[in-house]
Amino acid sequence: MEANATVFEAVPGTASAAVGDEVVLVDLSAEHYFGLNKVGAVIWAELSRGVTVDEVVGAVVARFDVSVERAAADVARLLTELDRAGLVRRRIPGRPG
Amino acid sequence: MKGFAYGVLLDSDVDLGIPAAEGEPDVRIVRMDGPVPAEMVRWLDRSSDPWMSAGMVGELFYLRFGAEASFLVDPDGRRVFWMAAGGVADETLVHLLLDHVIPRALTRGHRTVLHGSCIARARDCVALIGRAGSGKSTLAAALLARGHTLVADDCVVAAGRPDGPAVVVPAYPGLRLTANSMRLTQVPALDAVGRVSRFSEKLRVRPAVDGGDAQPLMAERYLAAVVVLAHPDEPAVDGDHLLSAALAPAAAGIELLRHSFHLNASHERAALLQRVLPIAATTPVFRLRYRHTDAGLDVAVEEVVELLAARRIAC
Repeated sequence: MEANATVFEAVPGTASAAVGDEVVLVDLSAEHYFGLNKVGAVIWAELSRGVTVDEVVGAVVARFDVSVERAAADVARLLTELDRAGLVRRRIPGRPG
Repeated sequence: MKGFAYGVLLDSDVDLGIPAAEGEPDVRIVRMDGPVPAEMVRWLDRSSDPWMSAGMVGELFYLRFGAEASFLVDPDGRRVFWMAAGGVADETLVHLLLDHVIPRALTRGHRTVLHGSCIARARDCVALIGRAGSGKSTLAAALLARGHTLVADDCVVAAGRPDGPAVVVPAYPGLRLTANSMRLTQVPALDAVGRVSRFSEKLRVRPAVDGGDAQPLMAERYLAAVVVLAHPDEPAVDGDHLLSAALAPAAAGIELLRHSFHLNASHERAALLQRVLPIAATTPVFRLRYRHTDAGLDVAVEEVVELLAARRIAC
């Protein structure tokens, strides 16, 4: 698979909190909520550490004992949804958080 | 006039019609000397209530309800100031204070206030939450007619606890029903106090009998479950059951968040997340869709009765 060194970050104004082993995200500027299941919660935790997409995939593989391809697809799908919801963005070096 | 509602002592210059009490008030409600100049208001994002506008006046929260009345709430939620337009009926002002402003003020005291009704059997209760028109009060009244106790109608003050189930404090005696709902639910011997407000067809009623489960009126109840009522306008989902399985934690948390009162400031939502999600972590949340007919209501009542029996916490 092609390496993916992209780093995603939470858009400023996104709050998150755990509930059980899941996570709820909220866009503070609007009444918009997004729920993450336990796999999504792990992905979100990794993103919060500022790691690359490849490292996020690696964490999912290690945690859930799934194939790299499956993990990569799950991560890509969630990032697309979160990006579309305005909750994450690609990190641009030098851009203030 | 001092009275007890939502687990707090209110001291109001408006007669709210709540049980009298004495002591040091938690919240004072006082008439403003004059209206707030428009240029002093910094408007916040649009509220989900189409007729309520929210803003800030310095550090005070400002709520305006059309041309009827406006309110200021201090940052701690311990003081509420009101100004009503000339000719606004008393019942309208009472409704706005009791059912809209005070519940929001209470959220400043780190309380979670859900938009819903709540009924109990002994120490266990079920909160019925949902959009306006989803049938919360009607279902609560029908359960009241079946011998349950009314804990709250429209505003449920709940608190999560790290070492046990969430608890609910009673609101104030009475509920608000349309004439049709009164007929449908057949709550015995309702005393109609009057109209809820100028712009509502609902009547404020007090049941002459109330459960009879020997719990003190102001007793806390354990929150055994939350039921989210689908609005009749919401399309049914494939496989939509009368009562769903318990929702996953994040979905449950989102339902509670969506149906929570707040003062509509973005920083409130972050605090809301921290207060509401512990309740979702310990309280099962279900969705319920029922037809708003005699037969549909009967079936819904049975579902909630069985749910409460199955989820009993207190022995």
